[in-house]
Amino acid sequence: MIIILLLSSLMAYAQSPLHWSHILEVSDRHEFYQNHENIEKPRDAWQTLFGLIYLDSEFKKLKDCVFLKVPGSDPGILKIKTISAYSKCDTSLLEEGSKEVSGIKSVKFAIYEKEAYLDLTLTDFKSQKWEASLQSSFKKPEPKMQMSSTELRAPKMIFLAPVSNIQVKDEKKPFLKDKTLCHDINEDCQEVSPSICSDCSGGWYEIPNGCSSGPKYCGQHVCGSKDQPACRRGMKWQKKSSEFDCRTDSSFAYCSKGLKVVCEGKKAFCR
Amino acid sequence: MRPRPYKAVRAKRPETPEKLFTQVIEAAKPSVLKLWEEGDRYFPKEGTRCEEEIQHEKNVGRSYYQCNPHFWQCFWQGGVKDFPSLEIDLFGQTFHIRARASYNSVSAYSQLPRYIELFKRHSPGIDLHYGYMVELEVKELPGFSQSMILADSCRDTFLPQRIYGYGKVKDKREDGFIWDNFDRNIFVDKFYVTNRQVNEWRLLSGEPGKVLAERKMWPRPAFLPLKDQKAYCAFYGKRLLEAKIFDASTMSPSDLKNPLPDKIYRPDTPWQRDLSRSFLGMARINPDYQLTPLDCQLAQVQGCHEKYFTTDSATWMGFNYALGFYSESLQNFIEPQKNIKMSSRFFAAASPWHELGLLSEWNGVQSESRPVAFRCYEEVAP
Repeated sequence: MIIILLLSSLMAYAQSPLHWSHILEVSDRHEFYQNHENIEKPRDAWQTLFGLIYLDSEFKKLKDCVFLKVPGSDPGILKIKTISAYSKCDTSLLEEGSKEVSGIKSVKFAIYEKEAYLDLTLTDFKSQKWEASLQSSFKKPEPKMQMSSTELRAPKMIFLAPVSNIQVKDEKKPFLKDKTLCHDINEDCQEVSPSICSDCSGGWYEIPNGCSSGPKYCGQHVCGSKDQPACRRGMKWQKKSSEFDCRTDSSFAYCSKGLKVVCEGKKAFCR
Repeated sequence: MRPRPYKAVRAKRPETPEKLFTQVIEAAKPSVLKLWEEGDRYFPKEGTRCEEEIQHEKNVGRSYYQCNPHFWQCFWQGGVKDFPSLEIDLFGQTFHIRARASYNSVSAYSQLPRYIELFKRHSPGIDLHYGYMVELEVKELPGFSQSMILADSCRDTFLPQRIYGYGKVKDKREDGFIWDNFDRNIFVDKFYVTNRQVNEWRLLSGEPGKVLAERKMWPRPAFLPLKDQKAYCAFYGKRLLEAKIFDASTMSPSDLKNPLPDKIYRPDTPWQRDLSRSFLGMARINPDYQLTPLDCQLAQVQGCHEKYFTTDSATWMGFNYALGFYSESLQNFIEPQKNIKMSSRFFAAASPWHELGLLSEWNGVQSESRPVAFRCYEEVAP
């Protein structure tokens, strides 16, 4: 009984930051350290353990980077640095932390689907256990009848972390400008880079090229009129399993009455 | 062998109030969402007591109160019941969830602090163009609160991926203009854009002076010039509804289970393939035809009482007001001059305009005698 009492007095459940119960996702996870592995190498060097992304009460997307100076000849140091969610943790590795815990003897961490843990043992043999809860991760559902656009793109309710007025560099990622290519699909219908069209400020438009998904650009959707991109008509209404090449079969696109579909490469325009 | 008796596993009550608060709020999510999305179910029979937020009229359907920030404000400021709260039973205790009046008053609405605030994203990151910020607390756990964004999940509805027809065909054996929306996620507004929604656009655009003050007008369609209709939709990353999408949303497919049918039919009305068998057809051949209440539920034509936010004539995919009520502005990239659905309450039931696939030309300027409503659609980026 005495041993249990003694051990429990050494176990200090330190308060992890309150906003860690509102984490959206984990990023920048160290590529080698395993869950519950005692971190011992590289001794006396700063390492990024992971980043925790959340929305503050002003809807600013922030990231708490968790850095560790691995214990070696000197005790280790744990450092939390809040940065913009759009920056990489490694860029702030050597900057002063927003919160630091020194005198660390050993560190373990673990990241699961719904939680992240950080176990610290200090040189005075006291322990601290920090926890972060991840909001249920949003998986894009299959669209179906009666579904709203909101349900397809985001949770119906998003919790905001109880922090505000945190000044960070590059806190705002700018919207993509009009005419920016936001979904790159090449002439062989291969996706060169994933769509970032949701980052356009006022919508996007597609230039049909005979692929099931054509290249997309930020800006107002105007199609079918003279010198504008042709409008997408679809590739299944023809009920034939041919490949659509603008030069031979432009039925996947249409123009306003009186105009013709003209091809620029595989992209369809109206002249 | 007898099955082992079921032993309920009870979740352990968290030791710290912070964690308890987090768990209570998490458990309250479904109730909070229900209040937000199904405000119509909470709307009292005797009406509300919040004149500055809601001036309910009998001709406004309860769907108007779904995802409605004025109903949320009214509920929490005591306009529905005296001591509003949502009760959650957890860990053998009843907790009372309440909203906080954390946001500044909006003078265009009322002088009272607000329980809800409009939100429009100022930078990309999360794929949500707009929503409403609220802050909740738990009566039994003072000192804690939780801010959150409520999304507008009541506004639009999905247009299933299949083959569709546009417009009329002269000969029913012809296919006419056929298109498909496979690999596209198109969502169409269920109702016309309202003055309430335009007021929010004005506030978010820094034009509070343009907010329409007359409460009774808030559930009614907004009659903006064409240029502003397009600007409104674009502000939310949406587009003014297209004629071919209007037709797709209103012309019921003959076989819902087959997205690639051999023949695309173009019904004359959303509820009856042949006009001649509907009251509109009867009215055309019988000049003495008397409208019934059921007729007015199907299409609000001349002689019907106006009814806003009624779902009586929802089409196969949940689109309201396919025929009648107000003329509707449409973009048309196939035949650009055909940019208005004429069928409206300004034409008698016998009018030839009351038929699907019939469009006319609008110059984009509103007139008091025949106002033109609009709605938006959105194609969600892959």
